[in-house]
Amino acid sequence: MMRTDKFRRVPLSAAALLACAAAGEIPLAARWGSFGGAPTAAIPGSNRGSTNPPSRTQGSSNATSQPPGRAFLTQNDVEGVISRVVHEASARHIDTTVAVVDRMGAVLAVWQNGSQFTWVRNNPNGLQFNQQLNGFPIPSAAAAIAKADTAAYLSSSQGNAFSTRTASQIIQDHFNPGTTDASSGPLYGVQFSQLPCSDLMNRYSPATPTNQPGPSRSPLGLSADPGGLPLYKNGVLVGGVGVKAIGPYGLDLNIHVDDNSIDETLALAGTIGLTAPANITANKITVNGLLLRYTDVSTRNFVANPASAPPFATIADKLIPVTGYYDATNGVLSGSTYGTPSSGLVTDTSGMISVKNPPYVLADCANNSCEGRYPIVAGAPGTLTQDETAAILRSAYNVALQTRAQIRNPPGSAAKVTISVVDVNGTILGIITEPDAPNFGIDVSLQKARTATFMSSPSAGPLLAAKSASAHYIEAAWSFFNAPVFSQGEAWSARAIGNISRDTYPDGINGSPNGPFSLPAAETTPFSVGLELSLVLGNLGSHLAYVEHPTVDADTPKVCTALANASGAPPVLANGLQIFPGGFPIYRGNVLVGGIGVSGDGVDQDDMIAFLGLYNAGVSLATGIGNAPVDIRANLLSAYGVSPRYVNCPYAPFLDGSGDNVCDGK
Amino acid sequence: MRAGRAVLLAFMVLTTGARAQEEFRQPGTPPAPQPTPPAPDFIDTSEPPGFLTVPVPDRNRIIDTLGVPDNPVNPYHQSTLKGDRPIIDDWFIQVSGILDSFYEPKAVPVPVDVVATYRPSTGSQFGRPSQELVSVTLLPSLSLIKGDTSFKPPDFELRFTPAFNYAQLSTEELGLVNVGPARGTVRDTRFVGIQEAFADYHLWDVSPRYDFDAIRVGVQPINADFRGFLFQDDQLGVRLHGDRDNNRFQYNIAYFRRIEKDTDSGLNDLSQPLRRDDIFLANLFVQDLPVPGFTTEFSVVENLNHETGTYYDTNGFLTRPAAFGLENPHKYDVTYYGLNGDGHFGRLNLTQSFYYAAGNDSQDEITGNKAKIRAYFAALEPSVDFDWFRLRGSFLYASGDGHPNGNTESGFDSILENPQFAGADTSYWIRQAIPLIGGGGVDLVGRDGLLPDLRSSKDEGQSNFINPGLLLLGAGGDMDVLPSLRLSFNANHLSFNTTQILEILRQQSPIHRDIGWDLSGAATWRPFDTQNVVLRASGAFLLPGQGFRDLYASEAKDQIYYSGLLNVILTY
Repeated sequence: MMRTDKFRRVPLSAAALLACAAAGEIPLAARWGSFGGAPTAAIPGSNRGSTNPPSRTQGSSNATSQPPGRAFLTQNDVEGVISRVVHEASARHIDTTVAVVDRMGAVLAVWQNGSQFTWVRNNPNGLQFNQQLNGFPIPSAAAAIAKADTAAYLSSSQGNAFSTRTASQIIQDHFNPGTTDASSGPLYGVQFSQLPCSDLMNRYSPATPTNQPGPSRSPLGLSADPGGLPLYKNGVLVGGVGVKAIGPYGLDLNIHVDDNSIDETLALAGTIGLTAPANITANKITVNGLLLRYTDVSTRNFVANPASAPPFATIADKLIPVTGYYDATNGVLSGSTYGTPSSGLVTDTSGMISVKNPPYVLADCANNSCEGRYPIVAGAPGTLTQDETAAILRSAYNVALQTRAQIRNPPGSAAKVTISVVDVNGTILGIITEPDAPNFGIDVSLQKARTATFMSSPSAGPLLAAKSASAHYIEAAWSFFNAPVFSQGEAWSARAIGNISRDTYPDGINGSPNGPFSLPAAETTPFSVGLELSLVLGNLGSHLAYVEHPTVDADTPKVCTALANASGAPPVLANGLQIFPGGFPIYRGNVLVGGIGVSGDGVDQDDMIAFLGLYNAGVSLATGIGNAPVDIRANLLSAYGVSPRYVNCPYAPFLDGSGDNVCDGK
Repeated sequence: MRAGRAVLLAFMVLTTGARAQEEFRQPGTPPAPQPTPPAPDFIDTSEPPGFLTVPVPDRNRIIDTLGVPDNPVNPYHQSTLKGDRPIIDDWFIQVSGILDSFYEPKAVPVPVDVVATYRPSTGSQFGRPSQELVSVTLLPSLSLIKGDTSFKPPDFELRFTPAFNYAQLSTEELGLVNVGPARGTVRDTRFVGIQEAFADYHLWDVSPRYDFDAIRVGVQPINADFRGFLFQDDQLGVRLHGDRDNNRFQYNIAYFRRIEKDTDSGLNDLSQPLRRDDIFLANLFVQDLPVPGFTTEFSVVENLNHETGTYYDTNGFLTRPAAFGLENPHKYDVTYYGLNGDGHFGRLNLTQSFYYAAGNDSQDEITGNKAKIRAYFAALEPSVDFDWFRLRGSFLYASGDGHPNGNTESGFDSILENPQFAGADTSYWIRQAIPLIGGGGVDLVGRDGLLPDLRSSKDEGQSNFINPGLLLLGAGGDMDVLPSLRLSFNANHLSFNTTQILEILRQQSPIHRDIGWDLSGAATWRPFDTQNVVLRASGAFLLPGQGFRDLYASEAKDQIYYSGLLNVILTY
């Protein structure tokens, strides 16, 4: 195999990715480009100092004059971020790649003087070399963009500032990582969201480079590699910075020691002047009594004074284009303002959810006229009516407004989430997001809704068994439960799917067998989680090939998984499977009609908002709509003497202190 | 008890520390007329000339001659097994045994295991609270003692006390008896621990009144104060102890390195390496200070903890470092300065305790920085006896950490508390460990503990000085309604001093300070008016206040948290 220990050049043949994919696991949609010999496209003259910056409608004014809660990254801000990163890197004689995105994931600049390529950290314990994504060569720019996206997407203005290091802590096989017999990170699997194949995530349009409403896809999903930090102006989240300079695209395996991440130090230098409010950084927020991590580095780590960074004009020639994300000829861009038309999120004016506290909805806007991307609609005949869709969304939204947040400061804040409802085919019937909810939840809530819906369908088993990417896993599930599960109509929540997608079953108990949707424990890393990744590995591979060789390789279709990609196939799992809690199938009586997904806060909060929202809607609708009948839920199955869990609602669920055990018996 | 004085000595040392030495002396015994030499152990034919020396058998043989037989069964008769008669020369043995059995039904807040389903109807965090604990512990003890201990401390003692425990815990949720849900809801455990294994050597007498210095090496009981507020345990150590001025001053100078405890029984587990936790202790008891009838103790206790490794208990739960905050391994060095007192002022009985704790923590589990430890503790128990009725008041204040994000940890924590206070194990709050559900792998309060110190385990965890602190105000009474029957009751009101750390751990606000009322009652029946058979029944209820309801289900007001105990202690 060709991986070398040098990150600066990773020679890779066209066969590399094919060979690296687990044999028979996934037919790659496209071949991998030849990295080593391909020169990066020349950067046309892009000296930012001599031209007027392209700007968005609201991009030219000074952000400090924005009303409270409204701010955006100006071109100057972005240039300053890059200058400071480069200044610190230069002082360390390090070459680097840095990307800056806005809160909605639009790429505002990518700068590179270092290696075009890095690689995904390999799994030292893996029985198979380069299993799934482990050890894969990837463009450094893709890594930097994914890191910037992660920080921007996981954070919020008023509640929480999370970094890629935070992400690393909550996606591993134990929480905290390295602990024995502790259950998995609450967001295990979230790294495979915001995928480049997602049918929800927007794509960069070369035709309108200065208007890229979000949320924008990430080339690698979310990142756990330290070196991605959010950017704030006046306490308002405006974007993220991602740096890939040293080492593989990895994660923080031991949170108890300072890993002295150069990437993170450089990124921190970039944030100077745009740092997160100290009271909402991850290290002030607990999950189950455990504090999250934000950074391992501080300004004491700097070898250069960020204030003395040179003008951007002196380094502007190192802006690089990234196919599918950024065109350097347009220079550094300014970001959009969250919640305004150019961001792709606007206030819902339908009045169907709440007039008093209207949510945001996704929209396509042009000429000050916006069209909702996912207006609330009825599903396929016999599934959900428009009224029912609206009632479910409204009911869940009302639960969310009262819910105590797990990841927002100060303690006692309300949860902010995104809620998606789909019909039995996975067709989107409505998506609403609370203002200031972390953006990752937009795509993830849809993933959860679709996961619960599809996996609860009796056709899921046969469909998965027919695809080479998933056949192995579904057969493992049949043997695991000693029953033809996924073809007999059990109701699967995203939490229950998550239980059987962990590398130990029961979750976290070392020495236990792996869940059937997971690889064995020794082969499992956040880059090789099993079915979830296997379903989209081909999409990721073709996308990364396209990023590197757009003239040779086609981009992934705007739909994930081979299940949904076939002609005329319904959009089941069209933005990928998701394997952590917060999604439930919707039934009318005994008939599966759709699903609801919630994401953006703690997993128990997500679970409750979806589950209780659906339950309450069912009570008020009285049309037979509701949660799955209790006698078909997956928690009645058992393997190794342990049953999966269908739902788990949080302690002290509501802000007014009322209620507890609010999900029992429902 | 007439049975061997050595036994009495040993027992008193065991239960109350070196202060118990005073029990040897007859009150008002006049000073010996001849200061030197000390009275010999046996009739000694080498006495200096001039003494009246009549060779007679020693008193033990006199008894034989008088026709008092040895009775190994009844401890109230002459018994060689009880040290009444020597086995050879002036060597005695003392055999004793305690069989302590109890049944403890209780209801404590518990979490539902989130990775598995036990009852499909449960969809939330709080599970069914009922639990039952049955425990049987046999404590045989064997002492070998040199020296006639009737009128002076023994010259030498070897003692060995193992403990054989069987326990069964039945719960109604998975993940409680073991971290793995596949292990079910019931736990049967058997364990053999070593609670005493020491040699006590009488170094010398320093006065004709048998003021002495002695050294004790091995696993031995230790209590740093009168009521077990700071450190009461059976631990491995070296202790120099003795008294001065006709027992008016007693002192201990000791070093301990702690033994790991068995998780389920709490007994000493010598099969594991010793903990990297050292305790240096020096104290001085002064009788009749400030008034006759009141004993004051001055103490300095240093606890050096260097447990920077990772340790899981036998049920698979992370114990060190605690699953708390950053969960980073850390070490601490804390010194306790204590002023304790016990006795009476006229008719007013009073026990008081005050500790100031100062030290350093290598890494604060909230801030990640080095931190200072500055905390204090005060407890007061006044009581007055009215014939057969004792009326008690209880006051306790343990400082809390109101600024968890600062660099001073100001929540008081003990080394290993075992408080005999405010109802002790009769009380709900003191008896039951209450897990801080959703706030990490720590207990709000440990079993047989008072302090809401948020430790992973009272027995096995590190001290934690980032805690909410406690204010206890209570009243109680003891009624000796019959010589064989005592009824006790206690009513304590409990509240946190500050709840910032709880709000951080639970990401919840507000959390109120009011814990609630702890009401308990107990009946102790000694059918033979002796300690040989003691039966005890007690029951306690926690009436949750707003703070407790904030933490453990808002409908906790409908939930009765109870703790019952049926206890039979048989002693030989």
